[in-house]
Amino acid sequence: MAGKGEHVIEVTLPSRPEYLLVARLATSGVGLRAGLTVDDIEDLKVAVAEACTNVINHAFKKDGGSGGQRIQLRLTAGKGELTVEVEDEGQGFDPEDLKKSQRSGLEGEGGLGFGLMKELTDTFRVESAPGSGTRVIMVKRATR
Amino acid sequence: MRIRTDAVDECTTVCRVGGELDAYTAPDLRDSLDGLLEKGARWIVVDLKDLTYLDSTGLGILVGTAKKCRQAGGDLSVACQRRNLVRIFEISGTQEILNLVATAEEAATRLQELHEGCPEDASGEEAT
Repeated sequence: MAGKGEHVIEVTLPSRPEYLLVARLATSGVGLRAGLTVDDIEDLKVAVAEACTNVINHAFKKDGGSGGQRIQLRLTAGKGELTVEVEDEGQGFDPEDLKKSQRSGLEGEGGLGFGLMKELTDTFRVESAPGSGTRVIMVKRATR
Repeated sequence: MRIRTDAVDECTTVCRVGGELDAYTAPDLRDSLDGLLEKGARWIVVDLKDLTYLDSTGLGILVGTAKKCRQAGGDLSVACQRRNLVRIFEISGTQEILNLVATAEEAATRLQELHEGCPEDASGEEAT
């Protein structure tokens, strides 16, 4: 539920690369409403697209990409900040594997995308477990 | 996304990329760059002057092509000065491997420095 002064926008997208543009456009529009600067929005657009691209490339691998998979995008615009949650109901993974990837630098399987998400946002968190889907939560605050 | 390739001289090809480079459009760029390599191009300038969006998928293609160029005895240089994109190169630490410079002219010069034996200036010939 939205807090006082917050606006919540939810978008459900097919887990397909042609809809990445829609995720970026939603981020851009809601980011403006939240008072983010153009540079803040450019950063967040990349972070959101990275999270969505990970869903497209990895979340439903075991399903063979049959086409029924979805990406849930939830954007919460507060005063001077935007929280974006990117969620899927895919195969999930052990977050420990992500930590190992980050310890080995920005390169490696998925490491670059997660590295960009972390660097381009003010708060970045991943909730996942094998078989339980994944939720990425990112917060971007307006640069003064 | 828009892609155009032109020969700069006998051994250098410039690939101009405009629009947005993401996981949807990236396969087109990969095909174009692979096509250049198959035709024998080894020294490639990728001019991103008109590119407005780039993420890790596009970076992966640029880094992969740079490696292929080097394996073939050449190299690749990326020209980009848009602030939000340069930030992506900086965060990912790919400026060096991609020979990142500001303009296509600087990129061609950079490749000429790397390839000292390259004959200079047979400019303007369209490759594709």
